[in-house]
Amino acid sequence: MLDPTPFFTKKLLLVTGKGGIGKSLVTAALGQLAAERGLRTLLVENASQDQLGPLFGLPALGHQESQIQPQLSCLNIGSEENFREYVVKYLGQRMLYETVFSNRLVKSFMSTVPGLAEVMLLGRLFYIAELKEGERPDLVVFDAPASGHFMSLMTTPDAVLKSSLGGPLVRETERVNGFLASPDKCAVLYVTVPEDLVVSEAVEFLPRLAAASPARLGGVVVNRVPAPDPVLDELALQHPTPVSIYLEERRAAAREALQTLRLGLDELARGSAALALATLPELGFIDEPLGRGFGERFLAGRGPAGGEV
Amino acid sequence: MANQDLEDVLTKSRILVLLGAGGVGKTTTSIVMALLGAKAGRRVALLSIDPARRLATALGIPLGNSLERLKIPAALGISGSVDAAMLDQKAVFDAMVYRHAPSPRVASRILAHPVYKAASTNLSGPLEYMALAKLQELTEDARYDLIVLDTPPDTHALDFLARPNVLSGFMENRVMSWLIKPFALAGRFGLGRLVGMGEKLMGGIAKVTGVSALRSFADFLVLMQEVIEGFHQSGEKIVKLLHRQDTRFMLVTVPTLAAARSASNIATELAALGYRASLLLFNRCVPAPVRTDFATVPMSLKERSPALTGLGYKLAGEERVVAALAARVATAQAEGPTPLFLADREHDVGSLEALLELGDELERAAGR
Repeated sequence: MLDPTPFFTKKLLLVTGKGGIGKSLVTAALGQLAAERGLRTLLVENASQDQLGPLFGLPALGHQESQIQPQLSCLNIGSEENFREYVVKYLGQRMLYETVFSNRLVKSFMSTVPGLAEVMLLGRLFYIAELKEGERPDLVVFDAPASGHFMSLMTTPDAVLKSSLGGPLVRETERVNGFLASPDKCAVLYVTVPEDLVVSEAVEFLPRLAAASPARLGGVVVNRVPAPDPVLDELALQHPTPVSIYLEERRAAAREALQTLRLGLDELARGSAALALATLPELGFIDEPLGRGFGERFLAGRGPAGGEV
Repeated sequence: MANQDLEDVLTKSRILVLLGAGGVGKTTTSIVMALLGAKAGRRVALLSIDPARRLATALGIPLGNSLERLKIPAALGISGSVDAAMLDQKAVFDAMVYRHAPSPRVASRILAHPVYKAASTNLSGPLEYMALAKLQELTEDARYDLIVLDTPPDTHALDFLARPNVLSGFMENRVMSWLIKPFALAGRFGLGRLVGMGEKLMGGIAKVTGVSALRSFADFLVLMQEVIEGFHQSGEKIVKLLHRQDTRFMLVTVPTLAAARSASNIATELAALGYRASLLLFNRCVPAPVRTDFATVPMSLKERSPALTGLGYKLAGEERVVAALAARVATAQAEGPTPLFLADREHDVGSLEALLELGDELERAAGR
């Protein structure tokens, strides 16, 4: 299970991991539970196609905020509209945007400036979580890009600060960096699954992330962990069938991968506080829309037919 | 061979592009397809962008810009060959600069420029575009008759196909000279000289980024002008290449609702750009013998076992996803490919033997 309480006091959670391992599902579950515990919660993604809304049965709306259930909304930040929001709301330069940046040619020029999209994305998250007037969410959960891109994203502020850039962009990047680096406001959650190659990638990636990211690594979540299953154990022992052999092999592989991950994390934690490792259950199939209470059951580790991990 | 579409692609295509969401086994599939191509006697070049590099390391594929021959044991009787490269952003970018810069001197000035250094290594750059540039280079290489292209593992898979045009807007009306040159000159003569329209715009940008950054960037772009023009021309050639009859697209997915949604979006965008998917592969399916056997497991057992309950959900879900996605792809492009399936394995594929086994399984697969 994953005890979300320590994360619910933050302003911004950044959920990352390799593609296809349930990053969006963990984001959705955390956000849903936070909302059901009374926090005004916003789920954010930065993708060409909406992933989070459809998980809850909403149509893909593109880049506007939409409500999922009471206290819970989602928003897909697109690069183009983010550029406008960043310049107008965040830098407070509406005139400048209208006279200069709305120009098609300037837009195409700006899209080639290295790192600018990343800086603006982080700036926008900071703005939504910390600065926005009025209906500011209590918690923002960001379904962040997959590992490699996430690393680029998190190293951008430093690159900008060390570059020849100047002016408001650099001043704002300093503030964003400060926000990301404050452990009571931001945390990174790394999601993985108990498969050998995926776990070795995690063990290789996490120390690099911990060294380079301004935002602190708050926990590692292993998704799709098989629940203890005495019925299956007995079946496998007494009458092995293709089904029991298939399931047993996968369970053994998962145990092995979990072990590799634990060893890797011990190594990473050497000399500092141990890193929380939480496990979430293998559900077999994720049906949509996710119903009310899904987040609570899933994060509590309740798998199919009750078994807990 | 059981699947006509697969045979067609392996024997007749010149370029095969794999598309799919992250984490669906695209890189593995690209190597399997390259090996099947070699089995069919083709001389294959494989371009991959696997950021984890685990698979590449296991197979001895070097990271960089150069192709390396995969060592396939002679005993296997494979008549073709596979040369593979795991693309490294900086190496490909450097090669492009050397290729298009007006002189080696300009090339080395570009490579030494701080903006270039930041763009080519530190920050996420147009990796997709570079893979396409490499693709274009390889199609001019007579040593290869099939090029397999793996695409970047993220949700922006289709940027990859739109990318060749990304620089055209930039080059229109020589925007570069119009916007940048005056600014680079202002670097020399002071900002007071910025009076024209383009100069006003640049002054506005400088309010956000700071003047010295812009000067440095402008300076860089002037240096890059011919290189960018070269990139642009390659871009146009690439669009032509991708539209050729013998360029095929393979859609790779896993049988989950989330992955199928991405695959369905890709198929729709593909159709909108005037392409079609010739192959549709579902990776990581429950093996057929397990599916058959599951029907014989007593309900009383299934109810009490989380693993069996989960497997039941998975089997039912898989069936729904496969049917729905195959129908969506067929609708998007008038005629859909017959889906192919690969069974889920207990260990991730990490050796040539295991990849060849997957290839055999793919060839045997005739749908369900």
